[in-house]
Amino acid sequence: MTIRRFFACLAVTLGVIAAFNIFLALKVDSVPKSIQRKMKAMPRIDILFLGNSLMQSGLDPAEFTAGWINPEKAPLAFNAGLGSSSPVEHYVLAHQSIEHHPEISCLIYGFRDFQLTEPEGYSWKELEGNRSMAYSMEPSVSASLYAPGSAWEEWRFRLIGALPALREHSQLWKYVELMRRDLQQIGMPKAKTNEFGRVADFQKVAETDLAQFQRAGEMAIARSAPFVPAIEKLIKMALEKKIRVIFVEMPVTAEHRGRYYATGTWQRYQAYLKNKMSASGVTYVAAGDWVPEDADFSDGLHLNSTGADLFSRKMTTALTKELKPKGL
Amino acid sequence: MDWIKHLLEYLGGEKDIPPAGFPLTLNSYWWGIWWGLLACAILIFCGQSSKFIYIDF
Amino acid sequence: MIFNTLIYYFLFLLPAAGLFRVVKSDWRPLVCIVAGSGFFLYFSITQFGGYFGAACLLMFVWESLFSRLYKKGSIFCLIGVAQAVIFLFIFKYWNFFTGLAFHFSDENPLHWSSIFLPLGISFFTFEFIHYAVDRYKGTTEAGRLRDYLAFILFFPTMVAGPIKRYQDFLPNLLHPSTDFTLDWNRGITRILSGMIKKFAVADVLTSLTNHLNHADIAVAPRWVLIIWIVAYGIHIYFDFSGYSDIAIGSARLFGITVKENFNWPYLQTNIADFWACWHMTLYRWLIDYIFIPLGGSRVSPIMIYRNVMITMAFSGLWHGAGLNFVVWGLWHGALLCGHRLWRTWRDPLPAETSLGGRLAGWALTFTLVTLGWAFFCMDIQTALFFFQRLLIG
Repeated sequence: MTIRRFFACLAVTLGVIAAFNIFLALKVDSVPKSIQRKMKAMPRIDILFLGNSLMQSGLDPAEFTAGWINPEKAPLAFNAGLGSSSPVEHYVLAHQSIEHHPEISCLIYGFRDFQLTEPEGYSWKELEGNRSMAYSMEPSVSASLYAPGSAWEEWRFRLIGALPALREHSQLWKYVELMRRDLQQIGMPKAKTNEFGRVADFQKVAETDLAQFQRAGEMAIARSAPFVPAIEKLIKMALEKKIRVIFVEMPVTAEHRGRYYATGTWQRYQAYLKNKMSASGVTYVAAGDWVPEDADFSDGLHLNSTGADLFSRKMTTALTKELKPKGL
Repeated sequence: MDWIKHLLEYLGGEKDIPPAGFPLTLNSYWWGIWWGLLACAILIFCGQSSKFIYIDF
Repeated sequence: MIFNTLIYYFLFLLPAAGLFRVVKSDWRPLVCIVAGSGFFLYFSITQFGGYFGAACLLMFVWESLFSRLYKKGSIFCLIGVAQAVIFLFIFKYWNFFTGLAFHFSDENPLHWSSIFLPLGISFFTFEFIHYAVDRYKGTTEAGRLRDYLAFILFFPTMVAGPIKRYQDFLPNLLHPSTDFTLDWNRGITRILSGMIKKFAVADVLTSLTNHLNHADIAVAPRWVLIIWIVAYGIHIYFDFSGYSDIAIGSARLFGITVKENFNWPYLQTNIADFWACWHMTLYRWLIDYIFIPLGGSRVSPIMIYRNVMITMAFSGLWHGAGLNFVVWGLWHGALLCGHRLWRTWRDPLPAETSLGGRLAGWALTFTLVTLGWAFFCMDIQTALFFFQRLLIG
């Protein structure tokens, strides 16, 4: 093989990889892309719901609207809850939504446990899937929130965001993962699943060690933990645009309430959050006990459809009777 | 059987000479396509981040 | 990890292999030393023992300086062997042997809780021992200090082999292949196919092999146990042969040829041939530095069997500091002894001439090797439970 031929081969390889990238860019649809498309397709958005899979599964916009006193005059709500995501992706989604729908007048953000104050570590493996929104839509901003001041990380976010084979990797990987799960199931009792995946996986996530939970809460209070940078930025952006910001402590199972939320630690942390939010101009809604029956949960974390209906109706009631956002 | 083994070793980079009757020589542009296909397959399958077993030895 | 990180390729392999090819021959060892040191420091700090792990680079420095004292028949060679064994014992076997001494009770006063395994220690200590023994026997030349440092710090093979020999490496280092396009064509192809083996086969099979634990074995139907253990056999082959492909392909980019580690082991029709084709560089090392010094096969039949068992027990212990690995080694020792007995009784083997015999030999070898993996991937109690479920129900 001549040197010229060797480099020609390398060029052909790059051509194959480029073609693969173009194919992915044109053909692959991802959850972040589709949620962005849906958001843009909305004629108007008055209330933007944000959060992770708890909000995604928990808030039904149709039920929320139906509960309004005069449903025809009900504000238009959009649920931008995104499973397996973190505050950085929520900020990106909020920013994109507000840019496209400047009429948004209220932003309702669902959170659980210490999510607002607990800095979220990240690795590239964790940023797969729906969290790819961070580098696929606003790489520089996301990099500045995940790794403030790191030019290297900003460069990486930009590069990965620009290459469909990396950006959309989870869309390819999901087929491998499904195959792996099928293999895993051979001969074993069938694993219960819901729209987010295996119920047992979420059960495990829900079972935090109590001592660890208390330690995390006490530490947050002791160090007067600030909101994570993405949340700070989200609040600042919304308030600058005169958007009402409401933070909702999402419903949890009876077991979670009894085991963790009944502790003095959680009550102290709640009080701390309330103070902090009111100082920032944010309204706090404690909805942890809005769905009392565990039968309304599909696993240890997510509401099922009846639970979502109940939560959505209660959200309507809270908004119309108690919170009354401006302009609604 | 030996021919298939030889072919796989040639396509896998272990052998320098193709098996008798196999048309793809080392001078071919097809190696570029082969590398591209392997690279794309790697992109699809990578992400499990599991360790190589012998690396902890 | 390491071979599946972009850092390995873009920060270490491509720059070092490219530089190695363009510098004058006198500078080539230096390229290996600098790149190998950087590689060891980077991956130690990020993955293996942190800064303490990185400090283990001093072991290479010490070894290379001490190796200058080696001469044919010199006591320093024996001291060199002893210190290599001590390095390995401290980092890899300290807790295992002190645990044995205290019967694995929770109260081992000598337990070293913050112990770490320096990057590639199981492999580079074998290269240290090989060099010391071969210098003692006068079967290898001393070479220059930088050549020896380049040998032990050659990063493509540093972490998990193939285990090199100085006699093979030195001519490659001094006169590497100059056919750039052939080497890079073969090297790139080899690396990519190694990664495919790892990602598309070995890693996918972990979804089956992860079940090899007590809880899952207890609830699984018996036929599934067979699938899991066969999957483990395929998994470990594709994992390690994929790794070896990447290492050999990486070395090829430098123009350096490294010995093969696998030669279709699962197609072999008897256990001796299996071992001649499975992790070949380790097997050769075990024969040259354990089996032959014990007397090899030039002793009485009983002593030969003893030597085989000791060698394979050692092989098991090298694979992991656990009794299950020793049992795995003894299992293979017993199979090798059984094969030797059979050969003594039926030689020449009719099995080698008929297709049916070869098929039977292959099936028996594959089955026994596959069952043996149970001791490799599970502790003894779990492995015995596995066999109990498999055979009795």
